[in-house]
Amino acid sequence: MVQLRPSAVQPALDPPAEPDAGADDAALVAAACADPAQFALLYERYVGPVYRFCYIQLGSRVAAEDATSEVFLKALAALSDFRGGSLPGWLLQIARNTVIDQHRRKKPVTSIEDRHDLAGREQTPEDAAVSAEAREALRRALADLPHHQRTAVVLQLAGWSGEQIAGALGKSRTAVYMLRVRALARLAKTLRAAGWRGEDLIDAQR
Amino acid sequence: MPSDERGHEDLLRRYWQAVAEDADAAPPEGLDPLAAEMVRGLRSLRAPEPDPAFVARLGERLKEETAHRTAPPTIAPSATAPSVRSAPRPLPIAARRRPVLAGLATAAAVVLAVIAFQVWTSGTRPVSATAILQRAEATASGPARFRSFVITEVSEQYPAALAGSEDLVRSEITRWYEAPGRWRREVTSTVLAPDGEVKSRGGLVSVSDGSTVWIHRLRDNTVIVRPLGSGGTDELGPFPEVTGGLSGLLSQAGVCYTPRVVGGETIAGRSTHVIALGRSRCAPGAEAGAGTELVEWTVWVDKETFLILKSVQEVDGAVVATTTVTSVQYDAPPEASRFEFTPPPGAKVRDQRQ
Repeated sequence: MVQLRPSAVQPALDPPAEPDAGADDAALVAAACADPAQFALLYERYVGPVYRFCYIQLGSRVAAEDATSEVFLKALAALSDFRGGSLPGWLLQIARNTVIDQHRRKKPVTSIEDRHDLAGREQTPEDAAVSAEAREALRRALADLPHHQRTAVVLQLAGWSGEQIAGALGKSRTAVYMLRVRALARLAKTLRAAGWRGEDLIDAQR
Repeated sequence: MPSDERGHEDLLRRYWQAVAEDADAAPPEGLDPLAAEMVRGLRSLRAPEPDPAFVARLGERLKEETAHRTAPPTIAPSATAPSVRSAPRPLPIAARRRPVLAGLATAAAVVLAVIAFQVWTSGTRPVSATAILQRAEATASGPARFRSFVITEVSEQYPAALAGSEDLVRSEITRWYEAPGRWRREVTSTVLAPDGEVKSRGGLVSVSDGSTVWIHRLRDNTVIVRPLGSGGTDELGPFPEVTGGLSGLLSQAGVCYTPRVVGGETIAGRSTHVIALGRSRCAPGAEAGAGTELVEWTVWVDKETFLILKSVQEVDGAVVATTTVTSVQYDAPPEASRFEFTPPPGAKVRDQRQ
């Protein structure tokens, strides 16, 4: 058995611990370092949050799947370099870099199912166009937020728990809460300055 | 922080929580209406759950990677015993020439193969559905081969075909384009009940003058103004919906479909290949039963320009959506006024250019 990080785990001859689904992040990392097969538990815990983060950043299922695959392959390869701290923060950093790389690549890949979702195709072309513009306005306003405020909102939208967001940002949960609330106030101000009204943003939901 | 601002932040916080639990939650009294609607609008950016099939595939791939990592390292013989072979002697000159000649022959063969491929792909009669779709994808990815065009298309969709609705949305879309970034798109649409009664009508005009985009929804006289290339409906580029909207389909054609040429037909006076793609093997609902895996696609590709001029989607033999180009003129420069736009009096303008 190849031991990736001998100093961080049990003596080499001991079998690696098998963390249960409720194990904390540190135990997951330690177990995966001792036995890469245990990486599966870490993957199961974070595949949803990482995918949703990538989806919000990239806006398409295909692109989010590509990025998520890349994030976990990179994480597996670099697990021995993980030096403790926040596991969600480490994964978020990898995901951010991966998303940036994807944006730099030549053209976004959108799946036909993303665009032609039959179940969701309930709009006329003009309403679909205005909804798309309203969503883009929100995306742009979100992108213009200060880094921590933006991350707090994006991770919330991506369904990360309060604890995971706090860990990823290295802040208390109260501080994250305040970041989010300030972000919302700032978004409202930006959108109002651009002439958007409440009904437009309701359109964006459709 | 002023106390009124602190109070407003508290209202925002409460409403964020309420909307997370109930999308239709009423905003608390005193909350700025725009802020309240923004909280609800942000819900549109929420991400869906990953497709279980994708999660399983990636899980398997990671498992393979980890198996590779846990496999006992292979020990090379040279690491355990000194080599008993003597150092290689220099080859005779003739022997040294052989690889050089072989290399030249290989290079020549590669060059010939490349030339043959280019001749094949530049011809007007590609030999396979995949080759046709590859050229269609190249066309849909960039308008470089066109200086201008005017295209009109008609689209008919049953918006919730899989959910039982029988309303039909019929749209007519005309697009004027002139390289490199000027276009105008005019849409009129009608929602029809199964008995033919008109339930609603709408219209949209979007114009790009090469640097700014205007989008005008006629129903409520809303005009959105923003720089060109900043997202939104630019995703289709200058192309008609039937081509730009299918670029994703084309990029996946070889992986997710088994395309085959099923004939030829004239569409809007243009000769086309008819290509049946069948059902997607990659649809997200294939395991989840969302419905998109049921859709069978057929596309009509212009034999000369490789623009898609028609697409039909069917579910169990019933047509759920069609888009057909009804007229097309290539290299027909539109008049300059097509690419100008002034918001009409009383328009509600959302200006994104700051």
